Amino acid sequence: MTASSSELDARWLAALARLVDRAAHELKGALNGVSVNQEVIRSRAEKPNTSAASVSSFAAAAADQLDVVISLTEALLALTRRAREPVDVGAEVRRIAILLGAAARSDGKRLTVDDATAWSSVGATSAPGSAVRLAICECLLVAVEGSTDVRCVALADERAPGMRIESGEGNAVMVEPEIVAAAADAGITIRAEPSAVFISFPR
Amino acid sequence: MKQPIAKVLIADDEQAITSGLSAILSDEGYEVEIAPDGQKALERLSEDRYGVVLADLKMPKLDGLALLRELQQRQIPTECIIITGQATVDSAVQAMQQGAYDYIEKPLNAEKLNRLKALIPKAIEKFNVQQKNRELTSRLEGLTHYGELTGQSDVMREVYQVIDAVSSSTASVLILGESGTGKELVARAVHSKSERAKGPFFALNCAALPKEILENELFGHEKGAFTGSTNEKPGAFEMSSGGTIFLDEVAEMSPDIQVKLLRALETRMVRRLGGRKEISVDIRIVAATNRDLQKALADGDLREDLYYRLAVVQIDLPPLRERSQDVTLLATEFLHRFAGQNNKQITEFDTAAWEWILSYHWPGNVRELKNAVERAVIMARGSTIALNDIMPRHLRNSGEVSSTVTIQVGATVSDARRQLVLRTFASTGGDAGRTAKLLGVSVEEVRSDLLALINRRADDGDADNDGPRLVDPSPTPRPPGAAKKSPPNKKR
Repeated sequence: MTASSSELDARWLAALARLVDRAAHELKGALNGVSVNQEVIRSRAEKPNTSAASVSSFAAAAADQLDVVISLTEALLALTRRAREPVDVGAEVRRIAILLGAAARSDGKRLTVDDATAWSSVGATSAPGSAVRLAICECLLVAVEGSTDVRCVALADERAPGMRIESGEGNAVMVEPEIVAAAADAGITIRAEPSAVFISFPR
Repeated sequence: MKQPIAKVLIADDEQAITSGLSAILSDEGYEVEIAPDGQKALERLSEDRYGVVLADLKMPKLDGLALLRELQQRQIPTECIIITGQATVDSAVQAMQQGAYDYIEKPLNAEKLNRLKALIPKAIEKFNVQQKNRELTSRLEGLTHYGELTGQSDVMREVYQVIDAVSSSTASVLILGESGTGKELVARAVHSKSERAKGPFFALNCAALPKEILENELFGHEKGAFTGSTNEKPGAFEMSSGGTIFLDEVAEMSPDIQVKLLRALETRMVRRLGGRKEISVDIRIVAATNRDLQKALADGDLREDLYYRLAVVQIDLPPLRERSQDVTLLATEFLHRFAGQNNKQITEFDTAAWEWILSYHWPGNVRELKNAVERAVIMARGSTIALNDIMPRHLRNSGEVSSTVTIQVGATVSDARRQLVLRTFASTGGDAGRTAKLLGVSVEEVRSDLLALINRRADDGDADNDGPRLVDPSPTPRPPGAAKKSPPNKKR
């Protein structure tokens, strides 16, 4: 492991910690939804003449919340593992967006990722996993903090596949110069514009 | 047991949680409503009354802590339980400091839901008690009478509030106050407002009875207990069982009776003089003293252990000089009461009489005022009570009345002069000639100053005083109270 990749790993772990911190509330919220709805079913089941209809909506709500728990946990577990190289940009964007999006919703914000088919055309990048994740995560965090509506758009290009994070008119995404420099060391370009930020990855 | 007001508001943006929580609490018998964010919750709480609000710490628009702050600032009555997925010591301390009833950490598993189910009735109970207090305070604000007590001053309303609060309990009460302030009336109010109201009220003045008789009165005796005791006699404790005993001047009680009283208070059992049998009694003690309590304790006149037993709740009854707002109310009430009792058509005090009533310091308190008004009603010849009717004979020329004049810094020289003329006029029993002589001015000047002062007070006027302005009807001094009869403005 080179010194720069070790530094990248450290920066990514710090970003991941922030991501986990934001997602923890949502994970507890989803678990809360499961247990509260389960409790309704359990307490009503103890009463005589309880119809299935009277608890079906709570069972569905518990199942939905369980799906949220599963998706949050899967995204979290995947991001804690070392990325398989070459890195699938679309998969990493979706995982980070799952964790960050849930927290954003609680703040009354919206984070959307364009349809999955577009991301498959972006394909993989030769940049190290930590660098790819760090660039996506930092740019998304800054965008979400500064805007109420953030959209991730896949950009397919044969020479430099990439993505655009749109944060709305007048909401500049100001990424830390150290992050831009660390990404650049790995061949990733981060370019900020007034209402969006572009990230391009080496093929 | 559910309280009558059992409306719960859930403030959370997670629909999967709010619908489940709402179902659980509805099954428990609560009326539940949901607000999807803090702002909506605040709107609901401003419009309607909820005993409890369950607020998520993290919500869109207005988070749980901000909601709490708004509730405090807008003084919206409710009890707030914070539900948090981010339970840190800081957020918990912050929530509690801002007045949250409690907080519960997510996820709400069966154990935590049970805790929540146990918390809500307690929070609603607290809300109901505070609601009752708020209603009581608002009711007391317009109150001039409470039981047999009369007064609308702030200090008396505080007394009413304490009586209201203590009457539902069985706690012993110690009333402190100067002679004539109405300690027995307070004791009667405590009794009549309590669940013991149907039971007897037994009042004993400990200073008025010799030691042996007091002991006999309190505890009773068996037949043959002492020479001449031909019959058994139950004591106050037995006779007032199920009710209230009022022990006035309790610090005057002899030390050995204090020991017996302490024992009776602790065990709720008494033994008659000469008796062997312990008799169970169900009593509440209300005691009173006009003594300086610290001195009585230091001198050993009142046992400290008895004091602590008696003073579970202490009521400080203010002297009349500290509730000058009530003097007009009391004097008017006594006037109507005694005029009715004596079949006299007396309707008011004249101005000089009011001046004296309001400036006198009433060392004998309400009792002295009551006696003075009763005497004045009996002595008065017309339909108005004059200064000479109300002022005790021994004070008329003693200089005790208005012997000093207090002038506020910043008062005008003419104001000071008029005050001096008025006080001197009152101290001479309304003799303008003598007033002029004492002050070294002419009778006309005295009359002019008095008229100016009275007319100005009529202009400052209290709301009820729409009477005619005084005019100078004659060149000779008028006896006090000849024209204006409404109480003058008390402002000095």
